[in-house]
Amino acid sequence: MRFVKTVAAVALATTLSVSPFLTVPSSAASAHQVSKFQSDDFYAPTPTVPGKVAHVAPGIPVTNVDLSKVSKNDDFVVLSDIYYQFTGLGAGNNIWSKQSVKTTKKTDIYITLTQWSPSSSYHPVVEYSLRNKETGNSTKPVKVSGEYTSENTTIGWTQVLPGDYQIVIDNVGNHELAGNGFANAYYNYN
Amino acid sequence: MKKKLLISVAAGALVVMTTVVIQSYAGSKIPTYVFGNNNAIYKPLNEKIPQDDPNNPYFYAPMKTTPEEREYSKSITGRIVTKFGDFERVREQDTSISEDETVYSSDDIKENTKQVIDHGVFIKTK
Repeated sequence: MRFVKTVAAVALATTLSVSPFLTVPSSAASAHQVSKFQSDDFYAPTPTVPGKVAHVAPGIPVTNVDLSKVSKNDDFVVLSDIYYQFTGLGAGNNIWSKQSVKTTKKTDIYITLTQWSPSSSYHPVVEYSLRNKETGNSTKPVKVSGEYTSENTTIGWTQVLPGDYQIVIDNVGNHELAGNGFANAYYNYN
Repeated sequence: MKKKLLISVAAGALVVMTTVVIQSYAGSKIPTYVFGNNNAIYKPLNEKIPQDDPNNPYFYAPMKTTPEEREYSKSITGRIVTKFGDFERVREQDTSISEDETVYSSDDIKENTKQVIDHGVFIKTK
């Protein structure tokens, strides 16, 4: 009798200890939970405060990204795209784009870019990231090192959750920076 | 008394083993983006408000990056793109890559570089 009681107690203890782990979600459910959490994070309201007028960078001729040389896959659907250009961005400064890539689905977001130092032959070092306008949170930055003028380069972030994303360009090199490019959001998850 | 103790120890071991097995199973199923590989989950160190520049249609006025922000940004950089190839952040150093092919600053990347150890580990992907 005592043995039966002990076994019953052990069985009960084992069940109680393990039961929380038995409800661990499958990968799909796990992803759902995470994206739900992140979604909450993405859509948290952020107040917009009007700013002041600032100086304009001096105008220097720019090399434009050659759109005809950019390969596109017809299987992908472009959801949103923006163009940008800048010059005279000082070392240790960052800029946020006024326009943003708006997505309502999970997408891949690519920036095709050129970059150079207008006042020197030094090679630039730049970090690019996407900033969610709603939350202020950013993606992992991509560091692009070197001058890209005669040919562009493309960087990207895959499976980005829906949102409204600004481009953030951080001149982490030691010299003034210029550049231009465009950003596209592709939907390819049927 | 001895039998009771033995059963208790066995039950405890069973619980621990079950927990470990279930956790390792669940861990392997968690999709990579849980860790925020490509999503905007990194909170800024300082909340900033960009100043408008009415003469620049593309960008707000430039803002200074502080040394703390610079270090933080280095610690979360996901990829390094260079003329010598692209380097992706990974969790662990690849010890099979020789010292000659490893650099300790992203500024030192050259043609034969396969691994960068600079605020994390980056492995050449293309």
